[in-house]
Amino acid sequence: MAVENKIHPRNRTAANDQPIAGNPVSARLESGVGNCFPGLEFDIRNLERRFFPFFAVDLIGSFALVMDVNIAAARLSNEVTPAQLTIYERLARDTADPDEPVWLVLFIEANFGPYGDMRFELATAGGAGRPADAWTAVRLIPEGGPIVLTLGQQQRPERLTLEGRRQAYLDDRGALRSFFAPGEMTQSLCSPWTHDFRDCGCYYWASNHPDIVQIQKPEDAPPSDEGDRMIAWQRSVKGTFENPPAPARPDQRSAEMAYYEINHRWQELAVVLDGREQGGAYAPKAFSATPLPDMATLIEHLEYAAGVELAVMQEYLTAAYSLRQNPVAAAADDVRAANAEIMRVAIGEMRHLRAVNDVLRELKQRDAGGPFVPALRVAAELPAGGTNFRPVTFRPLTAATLTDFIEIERPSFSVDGLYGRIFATLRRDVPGPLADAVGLIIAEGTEHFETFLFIQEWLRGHNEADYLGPTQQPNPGNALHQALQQRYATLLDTLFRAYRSGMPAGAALVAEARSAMLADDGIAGACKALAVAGLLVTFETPNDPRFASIPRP
Amino acid sequence: MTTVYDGHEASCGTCSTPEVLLFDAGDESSLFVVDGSQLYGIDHATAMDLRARIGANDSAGLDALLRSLGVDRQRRIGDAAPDIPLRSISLAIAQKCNLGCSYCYAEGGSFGRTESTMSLDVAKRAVDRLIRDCSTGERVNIAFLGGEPLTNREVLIAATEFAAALAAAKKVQASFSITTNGTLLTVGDGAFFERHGFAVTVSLDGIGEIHDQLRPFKGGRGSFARIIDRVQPLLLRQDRMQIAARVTVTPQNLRLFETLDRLIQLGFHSVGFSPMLASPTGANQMEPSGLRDMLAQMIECGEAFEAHVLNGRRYPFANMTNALREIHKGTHRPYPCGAGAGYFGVSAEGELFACHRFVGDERGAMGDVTTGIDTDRQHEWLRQRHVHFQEPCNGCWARYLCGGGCHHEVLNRGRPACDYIRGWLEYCLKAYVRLQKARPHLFGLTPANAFSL
Repeated sequence: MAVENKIHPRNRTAANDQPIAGNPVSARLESGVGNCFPGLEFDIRNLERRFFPFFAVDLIGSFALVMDVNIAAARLSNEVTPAQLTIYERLARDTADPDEPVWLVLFIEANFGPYGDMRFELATAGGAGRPADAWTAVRLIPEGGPIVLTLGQQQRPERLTLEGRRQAYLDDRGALRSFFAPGEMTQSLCSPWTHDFRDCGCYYWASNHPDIVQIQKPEDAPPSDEGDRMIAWQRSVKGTFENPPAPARPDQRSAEMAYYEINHRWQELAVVLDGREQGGAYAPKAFSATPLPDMATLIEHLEYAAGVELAVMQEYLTAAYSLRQNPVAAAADDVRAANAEIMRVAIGEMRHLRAVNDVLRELKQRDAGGPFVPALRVAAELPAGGTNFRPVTFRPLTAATLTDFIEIERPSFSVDGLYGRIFATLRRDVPGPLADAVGLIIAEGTEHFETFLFIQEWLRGHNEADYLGPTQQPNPGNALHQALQQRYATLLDTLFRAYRSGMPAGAALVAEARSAMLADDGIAGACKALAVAGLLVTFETPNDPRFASIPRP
Repeated sequence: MTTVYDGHEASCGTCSTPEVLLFDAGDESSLFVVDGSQLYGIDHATAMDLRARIGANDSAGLDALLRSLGVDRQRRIGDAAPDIPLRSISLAIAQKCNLGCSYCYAEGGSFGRTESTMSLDVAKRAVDRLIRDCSTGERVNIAFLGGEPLTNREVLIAATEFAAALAAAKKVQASFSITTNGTLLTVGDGAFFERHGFAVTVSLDGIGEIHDQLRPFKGGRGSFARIIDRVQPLLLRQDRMQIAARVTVTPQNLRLFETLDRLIQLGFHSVGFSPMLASPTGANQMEPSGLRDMLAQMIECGEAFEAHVLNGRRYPFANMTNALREIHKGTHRPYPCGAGAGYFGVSAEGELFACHRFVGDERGAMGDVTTGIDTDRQHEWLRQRHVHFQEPCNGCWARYLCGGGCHHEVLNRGRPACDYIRGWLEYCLKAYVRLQKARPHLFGLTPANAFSL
């Protein structure tokens, strides 16, 4: 057998700490998932093959087939009675005999978790009050729990009974027990891998792979509508920039390499950076957001960024509570999902608000540039792509509103976006984890952008009237509206005190603020009351200099 | 069938060439590639193959194998002297001292001259020279040394405040450090150091009598009790300031573990050792046999460090934490320190020297704070001191970690400590491999958080 050389880099990580062209600024070494995507290294269902002592079963639908009997181990065990050993001997003989019909597990008597104790007949899987299939049933049996199996062969009357305990799959050190055979955990994975790779979409396979791309562009070629259009990455006909293949379509499988073809040609799949196929040496665009000139400007931008987080959070709450409480049945699932996702994003913005304040606090402490004052002033205007800004507006979740949300979360294509410049400044001037904290905000913004694209997709198929509820602006004096404003001002005050105290001193106040956001007698309750009354959730800027609106820098 | 590569008997101790070091740590063979300070775990077959080529003096074959393994063979350090901007100075604000340590490079604090103190004007000019050419966000360090710097407290305070204000105005990040014998420390000094986040280093050569013998007052009285009395209130209030103990190791105080453990218990933020290699009179210098003892004891301290860290406890043995950090960062450099490059020592009169130890020494003279750095002398210094032009450094695997050894010691005594340095670095490389395997999260992803305990 050839001896393979193996080499493991031990101290290369820190030496390679530099932004890599083509990756988002937030990418870290650990961001690469490669082929180690959790769950895809092996097929976890194979653990259950060994749920019963001394043999392996294949679990397929409602069947459990005895495949392999470890008779040597059964003979050595002092937990196997002579009568049981006779049965194991019989199963071992029959399993090794190709002319003998396979033995099946017909009944399992055990505790099945939520289904309770029962003698489960595998043929009835999927029925009311029963596990969905044989694998689910076995998976539910607690480790060490007693099991009685009834085995039989198809078309034959004889029945065998075995007693045992549900096996532990791991040993004391957390490693797989030695009774698992080499290859057993991976045996059901797709082979050859190219078939799975071809069929999986961009976000699924072990590592993301592109679905649609732009074709390689010759150096100095001018932009071209045809050459720059999106085409299938796994396409069969490669084409050139001057003579590109047909544009990508929703159903493009016929244009893609077929199974047999991709087995032979997978290596022709181009490396894709910045959404475009690359040929020769890649000339990287370094991350080059212009750092801000000084600490004072950085702090000004961070304070405005906090205001932006606060303002978009308000707009998202308005939109979330504009969804109908009882949408028409056909839209119900999509509306529920949209609501949950917008609320999740809104909560994410509150975390960003906290993160920005943490960064500000740290900078003030390091720079000794005056005392830290929590940044809780709502932005007067929001970035709206390029050099444009728009006022904060409270609108129901119409298609136009959603488009604005997508725009504000869209990853900054101009590298000089708000957080891009903050990130560049911190990376240059401030050692330690502050730049990473901002990198995370940037990364989560990208995730928010994708979420809104999903919401757009979910709601696209419905009429607005089917999912939109209240759209009426409340009168300024409306009691429900006033209740919300009052609770909002109280919340800001709590947050102000919490942020000013820092951690851990402010922890109790942060917890109090969180409760106030979610409680029935807090922000959530006030928003809900407005929605039930058919009114739009809107926010007024409190008459308090600490929370006065903040202009863009 | 068993291949000849199975099992440990196939591998043996450490072997090296000027390009690689091969060693075993735990049950793993490791390859240290000198250029770039790259460290790799390798399988036994690869180790055998490398050993065979090293044994056969087959440098072409070795290089080919390294390349086939995917080891980065790009040359990182050329022969040319780098251009390094000034980022750090030390101010010899008092060229006098109240102690009379037998081995002192400053010969009682005065560097063999008449006792003198630095005027505030000289200190300000030095600080201004340091900060004036920095851009926003850059970092500088100002170290106060002597003699005993606290004998000139007024200038220490005024120069620090001047530097802090100038740095704030220029948006430069200034950090401050001081090395003191600790006998004159006051609670007021502690508050001042705390305010400016000083890194304070106190020289202590052992516990009690051992220290007293090596670092007596000029009258001969011991100084240990006095120092501990003075430093203890400060140890309790380390927040922005950090107080380290530095032990100069001579043949008289080779009880390192006891010293380390006691000083850590006293609350020092870190404790480090450094051998006395060249004293002006030759007194208390370390000889090869002493250095062998010292290495064994350093490793004993290192093993204590490993045990503590594996149990999740901080154990601030500075030589070890520094070495692990540098190994993790892959530090590789052609000089032992920044002397004469990004760092200069300023004498009480305002002359610039390659470092604090060269104050008053013509060999390290590099201009003065008024006329600036004598760049011709600086370039000549950097050209001559480059490790590629040191013997026997250019054939040593440790050259980019060690950098050729302290210039001051080398110029005065040569290189008596190479085996000690290599032995210590080899131990640290092994400890790094062991710790990284057992506790990978001790080591951060970026140079800034390279080692986190």
